[in-house]
This record gives sequence, C-alpha cells and structure tokens, in this order.
Amino acid sequence: MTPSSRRTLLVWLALVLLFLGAFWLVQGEEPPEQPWAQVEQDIAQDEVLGVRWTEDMTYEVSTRDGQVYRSRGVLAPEAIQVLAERGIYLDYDLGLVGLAGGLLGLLPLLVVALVVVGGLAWFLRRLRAQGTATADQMRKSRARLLEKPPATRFSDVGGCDEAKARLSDVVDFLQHPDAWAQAGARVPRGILLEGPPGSGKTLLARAVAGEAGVRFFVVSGSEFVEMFVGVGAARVRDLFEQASKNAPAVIFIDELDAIGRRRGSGIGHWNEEREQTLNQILVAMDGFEPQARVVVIGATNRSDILDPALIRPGRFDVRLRIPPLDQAAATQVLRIHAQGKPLAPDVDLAAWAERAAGATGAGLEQLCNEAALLAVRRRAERQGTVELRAQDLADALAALRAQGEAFAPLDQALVDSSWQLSRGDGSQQARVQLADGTVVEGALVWADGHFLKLRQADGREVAVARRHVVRVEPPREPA
Amino acid sequence: MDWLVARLTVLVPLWLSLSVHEWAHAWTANRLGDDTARLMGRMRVDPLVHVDWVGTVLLPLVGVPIGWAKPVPVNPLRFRGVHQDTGLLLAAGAGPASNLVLALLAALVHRPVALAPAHPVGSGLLALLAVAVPLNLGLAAFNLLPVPPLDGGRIVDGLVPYRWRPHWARLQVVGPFLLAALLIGAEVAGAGPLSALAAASDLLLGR
Ligand SMILES: Nc1ncnc2c1ncn2[C@@H]1O[C@H](COP(=O)(O)OP(=O)(O)O)[C@@H](O)[C@H]1O
Ligand SMILES: [Mg+2]
Repeated sequence: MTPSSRRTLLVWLALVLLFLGAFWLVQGEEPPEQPWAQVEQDIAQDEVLGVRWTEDMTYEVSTRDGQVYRSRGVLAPEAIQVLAERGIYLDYDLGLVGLAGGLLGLLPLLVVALVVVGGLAWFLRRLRAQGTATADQMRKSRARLLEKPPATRFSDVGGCDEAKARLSDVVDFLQHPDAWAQAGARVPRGILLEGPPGSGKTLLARAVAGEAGVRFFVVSGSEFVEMFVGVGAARVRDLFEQASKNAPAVIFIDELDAIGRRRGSGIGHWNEEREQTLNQILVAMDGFEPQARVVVIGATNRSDILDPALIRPGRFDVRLRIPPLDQAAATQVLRIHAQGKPLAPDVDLAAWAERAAGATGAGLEQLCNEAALLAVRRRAERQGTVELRAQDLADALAALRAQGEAFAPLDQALVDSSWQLSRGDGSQQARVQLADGTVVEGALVWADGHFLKLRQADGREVAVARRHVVRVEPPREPA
Repeated sequence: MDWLVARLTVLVPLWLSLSVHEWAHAWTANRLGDDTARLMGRMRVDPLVHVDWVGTVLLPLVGVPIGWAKPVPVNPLRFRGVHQDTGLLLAAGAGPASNLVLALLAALVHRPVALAPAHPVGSGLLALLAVAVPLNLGLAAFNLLPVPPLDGGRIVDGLVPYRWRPHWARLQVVGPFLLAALLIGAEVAGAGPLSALAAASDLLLGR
C-alpha cells in the first residue's frame, strides 16, 4: 500500500469516526421515547402539532401541551392523510436537502443575495471599464486567422540567412511530418525569434506559413493583458484549439515577453493573470502529439527576461537571433521594397543601404515608402514623371532620421529597462508630439514596438501609434 | 455546539461523496488521455486533496446552502482517440454519475442491513448510509444543472451547436450569478423537485 493510499484510508476512517461521534451526540440529546401507541392516540385526539421523520422508522412528535417525544413505528398512510387534513405535513430531516426552511434559514440566503448583488455590480463596473468588450469577445482569442495561407515567401525577407536556413526545417516538418517521425528527429515545435522591433520577426513567421502552405494565426502577447484572471488562459486554450482544428498551422505569438516574463516577479492581480496565461501556453505546448502539425513561433525583443520554463526542450527550444542587417542584407531588403516602384536609373540601392546603416528592415521599408510618397507629390515639378529619385530617398531618410532621433532616448529606456513590454508603474512621464501637431502628455503605462499608452492627468488612457509620433520627450521623474 | 454536531452528520458524508465525485472526474480524464489531474495528485478519493477550505468547509459549516470543492483541471488538448468536446462531456459527466452510483450502492447496502437487529455501531453506519442516499441524489441533480460552473454546464459546453457558442460563452461569464439566482429561486419555487428527490430516496431506502 502506497503512503498516499494509506493516508486516504486514514482520512476516511477519521471522517467516519467523526460522523459516528456526531451521530451519537445527536442521538444522546434526543427526546424521550414513547411507545408507538402514544402516537396513534395523540393523532386520534388531535393533540399533534408536528411530526418529523428523523431516522428509519423513527419519528419525533410535538404535541399541543408542549411535549416532544420520539417513537418508533410505521406511520400509516391513513394517519398521514388525517394529519394532512389538519394542515400538518411530515417534516423530513434530510440534512443538506433539508426542506425545513424556516425563517432562520432565509438568513444565509440574504447573505448570498447580498454577495451576488455586490458581485454583479462589481462585475458590471469592470465590464464598463473595459469599454465595449463583451463576454464572448473577452474569452475568445482575438487571434486573427487568415483565410488562406499567406502569400509571403522567404524571398520576401532580406538577410536573416541563418534564421531562414533553420526555419526551412520547420517548413519541411509541416509538409512532411512522416519523414520526421520516421527519422525519430525531435520536432521543431516551438521557435523563438529574438530581435528588435521591425527586424522582420512577423515577416519570417508569416513566410514559414507561406512556404509550407499552411494556415497562419497571429496573436500578440499584449492582447492577453488587462483581463480578468483566467480569461487570458481561456484565450490561449481557444487559440490552440482553433489551430489544432485547422492543422497544419503556424501560431505566431508576437511580444511573447508581455506574458512570458519570468514568473514570481511582482505581485498582485496582474501577475496572477499573466502566470495563468503563461501556464496555459506551457500546458498547450506540452499537450501536442509528436506528429501534430502545429508549430508555435514566438517573437520577443529580449529573451533574457523570459521565463526559463518557456525555453525548455519541447517548448521554445529553437532560439533564433535576428542580427542587425549588414550592408548586403540591407541592400537585399531595399531591393525587395523597391520592387514595383519606378526607380530612377542613377539610384544605387547598395549605396543607400550603406547610408541608412543601422536601420531595421521596417525602417528600410518605411524609407522606400516615404520616398515613393515624395515622388508622387513631386510629379508636378517633374513634368508628370513618377520616379523615385536620389533626392526623394535623401529627404525621406532625413525625415526618418529626425523621427528616429526623437525616439532615441525613449527607445533606449525601453530597451534597457525591465518595464519594457509591460505595464509601466505610471511613474514615467512622457510628452509625445504627433505628426498632426497634437501633443499628448501623461504617465507611460504601456510601451512596445507598436504603440505607447499614456494615462493623462484626467485619468483617460490614450494609445498612440508609434508611427504617428514625431517627437518624444525623454521620460523624466514626476515633479 | 449542537448545531456543529448536527451539521457534521451531513458534512462528513458530503466530504466523502465530494471526494468520490472529484476522483471520478480525474479518473475519467486520465482514461481519456489527460493525466494532468493525476499528476497533480487529484486522482484520489482523499477528501484532503479536493477540499476547498471556503467552499467545502467554511460555507457549509456556517449554513450557507451552497458549496464547492476544488475543481479538477481537465486539459482537452491531451485527450486521445476521442473528440475534445466528447471527452470534456464524459469527464464532466463522470462526477454526477459517480454520485448516482454511490446513492445506489448505499441504498443496496442499507436495505438488508436495516432489517438486522440494532447495534450501536451498526445503527451509526446505517445512519451514514441513510444520509448518503438523498445527499448523493441531491449532489448529482445539483451538479447536472446546466449552468456553466457546474458539471451540467460543462456537459452543455460539449453539446452546444457551433452557431450558438458565442451566446453560450456570454452566458458562461455570468454563470456564477445565474447559479446563485437559481439557488435562491429554487429555495422559493423548488419544493416540487426537492420533494421528488425526497420521494426518490425514500423509494431507494424502502420506506
Ligand atoms: N528582413 C526584412 N526583409 C524585408 N522586409 C522587412 C525585413 N524586416 C522587416 N521588414 C519590413 O518591415 C515590416 C515590419 O516588420 P515585422 O516583421 O513586423 O518586424 P517585427 O515583427 O520584428 O517587429 C515588414 O512588414 C516588412 O515590410
Ligand atoms: Mg512584429
């Protein structure tokens, strides 16, 4: 017998003894016993006030003269009938199912009712605070499932050669899981892409799904925040369920660090929720069959703050760093994004790649786009020709640089501090100027690669897309 | 003191029945391939591993007519050889089913023993069985209520057509409140079903 089953047995024994003890105590206090004839006589003489069934063939009878006694026997149907005619019904002592409500019995109900009403009020207030979120919106994962496998290919991604090589394995697994099973190779189930915002992580994940010709699910870690405890976990469950149903599939979890940060740091509601969400991801990833054709790709800016449990074998065990673009890679990226744009013959993309050194893939994409915009605007000056000239690229680059510099202090703070991709504690003040001239000022409560969220002095929270931002004052301590 | 002792004669059988109930969930899930509950040590009939100190002990002791045990976690992603919805349905249904079986078993033992001459220990055990029958019928019926946090709600989970899922999901969020409202309503309007239960247990106990 194992120790645990011995303990179970002991607990049962102890509880049964407890019951017997309680039973005998209850028995001991019982009213005096009378012969059954007394019951029949009292019924006949209309002396009975109430009859209560207590135990097998045993009844408690209370009489008009205030006496209570116990008697053993069988209450005949006729007797029950007679009692019923006088408005006296047999009172079953069924314990939990107890029919005897009584006035006192309503007291706990009152407590329950108060709790319910209070809870409901609290719940509705939370719901209001959530804005327009409705219940099913909250529970359902907001993962976007693309109708068809994406059209993105590895050829749409410039540079990242090592990552592409490793990801080809994943593509191969998605297409030929049997070969992998035959070889007994460990399936590349979870891949972690590490790199600064705009380095092409999303693009790569999309390309994996595109190359393999499978469905693509995108969800962002930050979408799991600001939820009731348990809802984030439910969403994860929903997401993985959907993906399993649509297998083969790629699940892309952007901003994994928003949920996947080391557990046990910090306290409170928010952490509890995040831990549950994280746990659910771990459970879901462990739950895959070896041959299940679902691959999870996570993206993060910093892997050093990730929970170690996330990067254990069977989870995100393939970690790919996306290095900064070198000149060749940057040229490639420029070429990809200049494709389909009318490039003036004197524009040398390799030289522009050099000039834009340090830019991310997203930066280069933006550069091409801005330049194209300028080219369209300037077509009048150019006698109607629409052409990307060196001048356009130069002006676009200067504009982006100015924007980048405005970001620099904040970016640095974001990259350095541990509150990146998390809720700030509100002590960081920021003043943000947008492209249309608006100025937003407030405490920084959220920041990631895509947007900032500020709590204004009046308590309202505004989210600002980073691409609309032209100037950010570096965070300063509150006055 | 008296009320505590009186409560205990119901609570002890309740704790024992609830641990069988939770064990049944865990056992079924494990049979279907999800060993989460087993690995968490929940696949045991030990009341101590299932107890929720508020829902199983505190509330019933002070006489609040609702209670709950620690729910057994079920991870449908681990089910094998059965559709996830079907698996959830089976795992959820196992709890109430186990209570029905317990009620039947208790009745089966109770009937012959009740006819034997009384003995102090014997009559105590007999009382335990006599309480167990209506209690387990009640537990099965209660847990089968099709309201989300209860097993009945989880059974409905597996049966709701896809088109209705969003509405059902909306209901799920307010489930606990719905349940509480139902309980209050039942106290007022539910004498019918409750006396039906009492009659059923009488029938089983041969009264
Ligand atoms: N290596 C790259 N090659 C081509 N385009 C890129 C590359 N990296 C980024 N981009 C461009 O920048 C955009 C944003 O990149 P994204 O993949 O979202 O970055 P991340 O997910 O790392 O933040 C992409 O849609 C693409 O147009
Ligand atoms: Mg991205």
